[in-house]
Amino acid sequence: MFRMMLYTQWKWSRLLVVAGTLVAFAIPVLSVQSAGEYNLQHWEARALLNSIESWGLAYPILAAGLAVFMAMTAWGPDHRGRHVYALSLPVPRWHYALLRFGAGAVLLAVPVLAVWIGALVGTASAVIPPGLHAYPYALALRFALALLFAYAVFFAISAGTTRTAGYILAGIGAIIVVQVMARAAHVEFDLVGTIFGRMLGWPGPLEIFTGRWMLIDV
Amino acid sequence: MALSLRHWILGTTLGCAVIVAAYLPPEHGPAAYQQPWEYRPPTPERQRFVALDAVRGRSRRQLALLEQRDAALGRAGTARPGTGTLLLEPALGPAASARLRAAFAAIWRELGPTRPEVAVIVTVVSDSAAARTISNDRIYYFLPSTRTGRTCLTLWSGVTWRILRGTGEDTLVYPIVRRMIGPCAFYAAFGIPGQPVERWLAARDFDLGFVNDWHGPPLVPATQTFPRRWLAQQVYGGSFAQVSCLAGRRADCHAAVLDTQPPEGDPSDWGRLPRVVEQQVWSNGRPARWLFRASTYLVDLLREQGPERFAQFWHSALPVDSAFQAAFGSSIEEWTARRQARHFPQFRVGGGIPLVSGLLALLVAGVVLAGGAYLTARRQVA
Amino acid sequence: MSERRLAVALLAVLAGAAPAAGQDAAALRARIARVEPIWRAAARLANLVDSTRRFGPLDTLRSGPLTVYASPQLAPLVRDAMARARPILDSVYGQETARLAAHRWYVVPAMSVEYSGSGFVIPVPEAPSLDLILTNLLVQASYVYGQDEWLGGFYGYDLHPERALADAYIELVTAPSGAARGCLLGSLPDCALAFGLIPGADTVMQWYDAQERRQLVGQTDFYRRRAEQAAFDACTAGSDAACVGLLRSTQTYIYIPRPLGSISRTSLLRTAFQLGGSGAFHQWIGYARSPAARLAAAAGASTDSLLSTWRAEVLAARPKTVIIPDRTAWVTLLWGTVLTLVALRSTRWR
Repeated sequence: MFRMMLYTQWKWSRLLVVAGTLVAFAIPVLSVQSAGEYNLQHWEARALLNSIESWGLAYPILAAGLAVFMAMTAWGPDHRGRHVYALSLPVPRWHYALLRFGAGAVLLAVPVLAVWIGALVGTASAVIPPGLHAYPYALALRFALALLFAYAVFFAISAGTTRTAGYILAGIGAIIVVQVMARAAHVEFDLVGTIFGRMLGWPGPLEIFTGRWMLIDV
Repeated sequence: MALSLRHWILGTTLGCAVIVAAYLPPEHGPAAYQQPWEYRPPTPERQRFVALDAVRGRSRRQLALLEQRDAALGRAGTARPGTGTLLLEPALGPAASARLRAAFAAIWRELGPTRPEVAVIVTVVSDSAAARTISNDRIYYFLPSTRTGRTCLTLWSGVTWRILRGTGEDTLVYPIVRRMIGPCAFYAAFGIPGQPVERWLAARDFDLGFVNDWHGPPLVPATQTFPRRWLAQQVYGGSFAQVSCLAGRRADCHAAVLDTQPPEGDPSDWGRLPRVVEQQVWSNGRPARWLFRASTYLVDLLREQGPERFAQFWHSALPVDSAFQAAFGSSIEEWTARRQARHFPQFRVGGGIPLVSGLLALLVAGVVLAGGAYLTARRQVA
Repeated sequence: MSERRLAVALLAVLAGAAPAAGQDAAALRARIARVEPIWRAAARLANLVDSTRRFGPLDTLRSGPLTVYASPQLAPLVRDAMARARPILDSVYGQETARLAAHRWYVVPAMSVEYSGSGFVIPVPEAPSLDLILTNLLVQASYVYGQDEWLGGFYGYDLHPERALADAYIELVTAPSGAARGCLLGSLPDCALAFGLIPGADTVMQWYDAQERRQLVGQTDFYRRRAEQAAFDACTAGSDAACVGLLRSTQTYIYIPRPLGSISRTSLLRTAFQLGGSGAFHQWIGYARSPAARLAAAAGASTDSLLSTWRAEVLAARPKTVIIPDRTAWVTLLWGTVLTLVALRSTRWR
């Protein structure tokens, strides 16, 4: 059954997977474009790191984008068919959900592989100045984790009804309203900042998105 | 004709090959710095003037330093080893002088017992023309030498002088006086160091011993006070060895702590005198040249290892790393790596992620997924 | 000195200019004496070549201590601006106007910025006004006298003198400081304290009370970011000792807001100059004394007398609380009428 799920998922999302794979391969290759010289002054090496760091923004964006679209394609046909197909299958619905998730996750492994191979190819061809090192494995692992995390979140949101999505949005809205009212009442309580700080900073779950995505670093 | 899986794979591989062919190998270095305006190189006449101006400025500065040093030594000729003397000028005014003297006496007491080996003379010079020549918001420490004898002399003039005297806002007097004493505090408390240690510290402009508050509380980790991202940017402004040391690589810690060559492009030589150490008065915001939070290095060492062991290291005639090992029982790189990790915990280079963050992300993903599956199972179809 | 001779002299000097390891003062003095005339000649030559290359041929205009190099097409306008600037500068700086003679101004058409030698540059648009050049001259003249620590900025001609005292009034009544409030109520020692004129004053304790200190720390981002979290929390929770500790901590002194800042201090200085007449600025700028002594010398009166005069002037300059300019009122009325007419034509009413 998983094979069939995988096949249908592939059919629905193959354009996305291929495009994502090409982009995933291209980012590390393009990020080493400035790494063509060995003997660099200190400031030049820093300029090189800055250039690589500017490409680093592309990895989490790609991960989030791929995750959103894959989650949407995973549930889109079911939503349109009012879930009749899922109900007709002889498996519990939680099992069905996991099969859908698994199929998407397997397909997302392809862009992860592309990042890894792209990073290996990029670092093999780059000239790395003294004091700097390449991190293709760590980068690919980070990309895999970020992709998996984002996919799980968007998959769960997408699995719910419009009402569920509404609840989530309402929750976020409530936090913002509380923050605005607290400010207006001169209560020194930075709720939004605290939540975002905890989520994005170390050791929050979103730290994988915000850290350094450096193929070449010190 | 419908495309088969094989076609898709082939197409993707071909696409990747095109990317490789188009962009690899990289053929150039980082982009050169672009002036935001049209740059015309200075005329030969201007270049000649700049070269002459540098010679003149350097000579005037050196002369002013020597004159100020000799004047201070003349005024405090009777300073005994083991004592601290604060030389002020009448123009400073009685109120400001009294505040400074009180702060100096209190800080001198806080240093604890001193060795009767070196006399410390701290001099605040006035707004004379000579003082303005050397000001530039720097403090000069004349280490004991053949010319100064067993005296550690510090000299300060310039911007801060006006702050001291001017506004009556005295909240900065204590830190100012501490900075004025600077590395001379170590000479007062422990005497003249062994030659290898002194050569090492002096070549680094005593960046490791600028802070002398060894009875005060240790600094909290920098990450508790500053945003991590901002700190990381600061750290990358210095040598790569210090960045690598923060990430825990021992060999680079060795280089970062023992290196005495300033990073390229560091304009450190603008008329230095031998055995005179210079420090920026306000160094906040500037990236450390060699080591993150270098200024408290010796103080951290002293606090952790105690004065006896520190004195053994201080006086050792062995090379620095051997002296360190002999006195403290661990290698300098090991201790430095531990210390740096305390000041900037969980610093990472490359794409690495902390294990906790990775596990937490997986855990949250699992919980969210289970929630999604639960919602699906509860779905009612009309 | 010819270029060749200058180059030879330069080489000779540079050859003898190794770092001064072991050199004594006499050797350095000899070297400086050797360099000085060559340095001066080189400076003159470099300035001449640079300004010619940069701006083309310039007219040299002089008016008293002012020397301005201007593009020929701008020269008449610049001459007029200089003529108007002189009495203003004399009234502001008195005998200290002579210091301006050591500086040069360039008034040239606006162009791309590049490496420049010494001097103030006033780039002007294609059709500059006399006021523009005059204002730039006056503002840049204030740079010659440097920033003053106590004042917190440069002192120069006030472009909007009518606003100065009213702004000072607003600062005085809104400053969150007991000292400023005391000053408003008539206590001259409080005025002196709020202005930072009492040497040795413990400003953290005397400028602000415990509640003000807590608010100061709690509302200042600097402390939130940099202070140790525990101390910050203790302070905002009510521990005055923690607030005092934070305010006194290393290097934070520059972040303690002065109750009466640059606006009020400039207005006080202006009052002192009015009292002191010509020569007041000269008394002020001799910086071997405390700000209080300098102010008293500039005003030719005691600090108390100066503060009293300033306070009376400031209270008299209390600005109108609600100002509705005629134009605004008419425009508002017009818009109201237009919108009412539009609303009446709405289909809902038909």
